[in-house]
This record gives sequence, C-alpha cells and structure tokens, in this order.
Amino acid sequence: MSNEAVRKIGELAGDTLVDTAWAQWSSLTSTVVRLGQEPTWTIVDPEALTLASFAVGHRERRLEDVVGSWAAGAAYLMSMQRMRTLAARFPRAVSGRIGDFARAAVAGGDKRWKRLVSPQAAGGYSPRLKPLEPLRLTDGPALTLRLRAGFGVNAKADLLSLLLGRSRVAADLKLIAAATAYTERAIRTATKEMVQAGFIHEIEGRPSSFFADDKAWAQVLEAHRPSRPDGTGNAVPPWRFWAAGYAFLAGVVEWAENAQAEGWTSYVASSRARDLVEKHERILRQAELDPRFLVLGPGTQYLPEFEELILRVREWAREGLNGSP
Amino acid sequence: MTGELWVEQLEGALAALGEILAAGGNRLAIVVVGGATMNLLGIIRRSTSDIDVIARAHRDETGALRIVPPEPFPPELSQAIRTVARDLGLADEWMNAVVGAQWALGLPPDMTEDITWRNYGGGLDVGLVGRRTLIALKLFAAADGAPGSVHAQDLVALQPTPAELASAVEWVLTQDEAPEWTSLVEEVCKHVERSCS
Repeated sequence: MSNEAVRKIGELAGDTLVDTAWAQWSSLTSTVVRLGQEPTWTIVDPEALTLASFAVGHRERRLEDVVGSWAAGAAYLMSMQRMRTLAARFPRAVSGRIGDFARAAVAGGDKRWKRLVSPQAAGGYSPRLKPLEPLRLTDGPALTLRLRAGFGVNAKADLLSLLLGRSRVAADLKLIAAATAYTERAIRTATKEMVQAGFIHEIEGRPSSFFADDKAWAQVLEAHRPSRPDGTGNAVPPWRFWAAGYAFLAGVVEWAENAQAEGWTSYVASSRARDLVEKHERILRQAELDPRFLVLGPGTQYLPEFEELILRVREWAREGLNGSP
Repeated sequence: MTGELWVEQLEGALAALGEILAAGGNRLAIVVVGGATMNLLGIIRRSTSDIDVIARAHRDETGALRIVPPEPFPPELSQAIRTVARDLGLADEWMNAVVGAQWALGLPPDMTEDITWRNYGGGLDVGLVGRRTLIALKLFAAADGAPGSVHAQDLVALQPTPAELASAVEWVLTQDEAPEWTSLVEEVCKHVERSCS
C-alpha cells in the first residue's frame, strides 16, 4: 500500500469529521446552515464537537469560525472539566487548542475560562467571529446543552441527557462515567441524588444500573422530532459515543499528516495505525465500533484493514446523525 | 506467534526494526552472531528461532568503532523490538541478548575487525560477524551442546580450514576449565574434519 493510500485514509477520516461536525453545529445554531440535508437527530456532545472541529479546523476554516463564535457566545454552557478530560483522548495538537477556546470565551465575557487561556494562539488562525443566531436549545440534538441551561453545567445534566438518549436501556456507573467523561465518584453521587429526586430510576444489582423514563421526560420537555409528525418515533434523540469516534478520527487525521510530513514507510504507517487502534480500542468497543473484527495481517497488510475500519466509522457517523442509537 | 525465521523473515524483521527506529529519530548499531548471521551471509539456509545480539556498537569521539555489551538494550530499541514482534507476529524474544553473557568469559579475538556492516531501514546498522568469529563461537557452542546439534551442523556448513579450526580451538579451550573440555572440543573437531573431507 502506497503513501497515496495513507493520504486517502487520512482524507476519509478528515472528511468524515468535517461533515459530521458541520451537521452537528447546524443543529445547535442557525448561524451554521446545512442546505438540502435532513436535520440531524442525535444528542450533540458539545465538548467532543468542539475538539473535533479543532482537529480539522486547518482543513475547514469555517469550523474554526464557528468554534470561535460559539466560545464567544455560548461558553457558559460548556464544561471546562469535560473539555480537559476529553482532550486527553485527542491528539496533543488538538488538546492544545483549549487555550484558544478559552481566549475567545473570555473575550466574549465568560471569565470562568480565564485560567485556561494560553499565552499564545495555538491554531495560528484568527477566527472570524459572528454573533450566534438564537441557539436551538429546545431542539432535540441540543438536549445536553438545554439541560445544562436548566440545571447547571454539571454531571447531573449530562447524566440525565445520556439516560434519556438511551430509551430506557439501563447503564451502570462504569458506562456512564466512560460516556460522560466524569469520574465514577462524581457519577455515583449524581445518580444517588437523581434517584432520590425521582428523576432517574435504579435497577439494583451488582452492579446497579440506571435508566430514565424518556417518554415522561419528553412530555415535560415538550420534545418531538421536528421533521416527523407528533407522536411518531422517539421524542428524544439517541445518545451516541461521539467523543470516542471523534477522538479516533482526529488521531487518524494526525497519523496521515505525520506520515506525509515525516516520510514514513508503508510499514511504519501500518505500525503507527496499530498503535492508534490499540490506544482507542477500549472506548471504540464501548461505542460499538469494535475494531476486533480486523484480520490482523502482518506488517503492511494491516493498512487495508485499517481503511476498512475508517469506512465503518464513517458509516457509524452517518447513521448516528440520522438517529441510530 | 511464530518461532521460525527464514532469511526472508530475518531481512524483513530487521528492515522493520530499522524503519521504526528511524521514524523515531534514532540510529543504533548492533552486532549479531549465530544462525541468523549465517543465514544473512548466505552460508546456510535454515530457519532460526531468534537473532542473537552479542554487542552494541558506536563510534567514539575519534571515529573509532567501539563495541559494548548489548544489555541493557536502550529503551527505544526494546520498544521497537516489541513493536516489530506485534506487527509481524513474531515471538517477543525474536531479538535478544542472551549471547551477551559471552562478555563475561571473553569474546573471540579481534571480533571488532571481523564485522561486515549493513544498514536496515535507515535506523539500524547490523554488524554481521565473519567466518573467523563464527567458527570460534560455533565450535564453542557445539562442544558445549549435544553431539549432532545444530551448532555442529552450522560449523560443518562453514567448512573451516585446518588453520581456521586450530585458531578457533585455541580460543575455545580458554572458555572452560573442566577436565573433559579439551576432549569435547577435540571430538567436535574430528567430526567436522570427517564431514568436510
């Protein structure tokens, strides 16, 4: 497999990130327009979306503009803790961009982010900021942000969003912690208090698991899928491990760029691809993107298998935008 | 994991190791002996289970080649060996420095001058010891092992001349003080002479 093949895999990953990120931003604000496409139907993970946009911002400057505008106008809905925790799963060049987000947030008036401002811009690009059109908080995809607006930026809002997006499929503490990127300790406290409040329900066991009554909550939230008549389909969009898919794809983009820049041989590219899959394997499995289907051919024979994995992730992302759980 | 390395796999594994090292900005030099070396030099064609590293090498400030005991491997080499094992489905110990224990007893004389260098993948210089060193080490291993061992077969494959064998015997006899050692060495020599005649 040639360097051209490595470049192609990187393009595939980058295009998937750009398309998916653009679609998700368009579901949060009408500042981003996505013509001729059905609205997305998936709960947006705002921190993962921000990091994903940074990962391909150099390819698609408009994403940099959106992130900058979002930071300036909506940082109050974003979690600094989650941003930093999730950033650790992304390439270092991406996690280094948190300081850029913080700078725009502070410039927009959110002083909370001051301590994360980096002395120098890491992105090398000054985004063109636009005032955000009214946020679409009451549309389904913005559920996490809506609950944060209502209950505060904390583990409880994100926990409820996750459980509502699982359509009564219960989740244990480990899964909730992995999905929300909060600590198990924080999630244990949050679930205990949310159960006490009757907001979510516990199925006792070893381990105990938790679910939320999405139909009852849909009535409270007056939620329905915009493109469907009332009463059809799920009123709350499904939750998805977007952070896992995004972090992996961002890693693939960096992998391909490094291969080109450093002149890796096909073997080195295949070896680094294995490193990348190993690094992300656990979280990809949780996202039901189990890379163990790969036939682990020796040496460079791994590259076609790796490309197959990226194609699957692209399909996973497309299905996710359209409401697959 | 496969335990069999034919010459094609040896070449491939060394190239992979060199490429990984080069991609990490490293360039290292090792000296190898044993069946892997004989395969790489085209003296024999048989599978071997590993690559025996007897020394690492570097140039000193005067530009002279210096060899040093192989262990411990530098971390970047150890990591690259593990990576290649994973990538090519090789045993974890496909490259090891067990033979480096020879430093405690003494290396064959003038080994540093008896090395041919090859570069693999840009990041790995491999020193292949020559006939003189191979004959000495194989004679030692054959005398130390079971009769008819692969070492004895390798020694026969080297087709040593009487002078080469005599030189090797001189060094091998210094390697063990056991009373029966001389007779064991002589027995191997007779076997080789019979096989080569």
